[in-house]
Amino acid sequence: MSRLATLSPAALRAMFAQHADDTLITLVTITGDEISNPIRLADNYTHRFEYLSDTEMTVTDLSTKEASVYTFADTDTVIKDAVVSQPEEIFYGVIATTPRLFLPFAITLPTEEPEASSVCQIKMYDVTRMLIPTIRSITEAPSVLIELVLMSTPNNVEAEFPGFLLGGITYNRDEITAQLTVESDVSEPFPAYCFTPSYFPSEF
Amino acid sequence: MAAYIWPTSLPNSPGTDYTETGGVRVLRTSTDAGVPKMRYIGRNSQTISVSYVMTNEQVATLKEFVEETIMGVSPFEFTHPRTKETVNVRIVPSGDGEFFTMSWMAKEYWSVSMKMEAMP
Repeated sequence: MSRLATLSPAALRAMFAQHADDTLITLVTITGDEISNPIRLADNYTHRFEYLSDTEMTVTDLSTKEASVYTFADTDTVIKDAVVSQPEEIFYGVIATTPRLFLPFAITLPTEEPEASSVCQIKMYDVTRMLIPTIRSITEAPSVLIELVLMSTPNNVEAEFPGFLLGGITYNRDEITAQLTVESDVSEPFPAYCFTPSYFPSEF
Repeated sequence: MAAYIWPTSLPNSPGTDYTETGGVRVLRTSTDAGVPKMRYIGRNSQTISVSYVMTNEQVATLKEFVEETIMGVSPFEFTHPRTKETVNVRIVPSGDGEFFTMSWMAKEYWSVSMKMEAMP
């Protein structure tokens, strides 16, 4: 079934209308055994996050300019570390069920050639080096969940793409580039044994 | 609000060459024919270009504020020249880290120009 069938009319209007006052935001969640709490990122922002105390931050809606106090949950380790460690800074993000930090990233979809492997590429512009310490510490490919939400209704997931693995990671002083792959049986060797003289001597 | 504040000893009324931009972030897709499609994608920073007449002492204060206090990157509270509201701004560097330009005006007086961005 086409992905378009799962999208709401508002999302379709945001994508195809001549003049659209709403847009889709891509949410990325990175999890793994070596990542204690999920890294939640968004490629756009609707709110401003500012340090208030070691347990709270001020969240300002950029459309209405209304400010509220958000108390960090136990799973907000990544955003809490960022805000608390740099109280003089202003952060941006999205409140989609949980707060997500804005980090510009671009996802390149795989080619449509039938024999090409299903590999996407993600490039994150990590100028403030928020992710580099985590990237350096992991030894296994973490899992990645990609979700699409509308800017006006960030709690309502329009489409989700689970099951990606983050591999082939390279980085420099301001960019992290990685491959998003999906484990697929199609790319596994079959049958498990090769017809070699050692396995099938009577064949030769 | 930001932790740093524009030093009170520095001027706050810019010269007549003050400029300011406004708008939001949009995607604009050109088409083979017809009117381009446009999509709103979010709030944007507003660019403010200002120039001030400063004394030697004020230039030294500005230099210390930019190079030692905000280290060039941190936002700070600033009275918006038009609205008089307190906004968070950052100084936008031009070239490779040039945050402000000083021009000689008269003995011990300098024209200091810079570009700021008011954070959304």
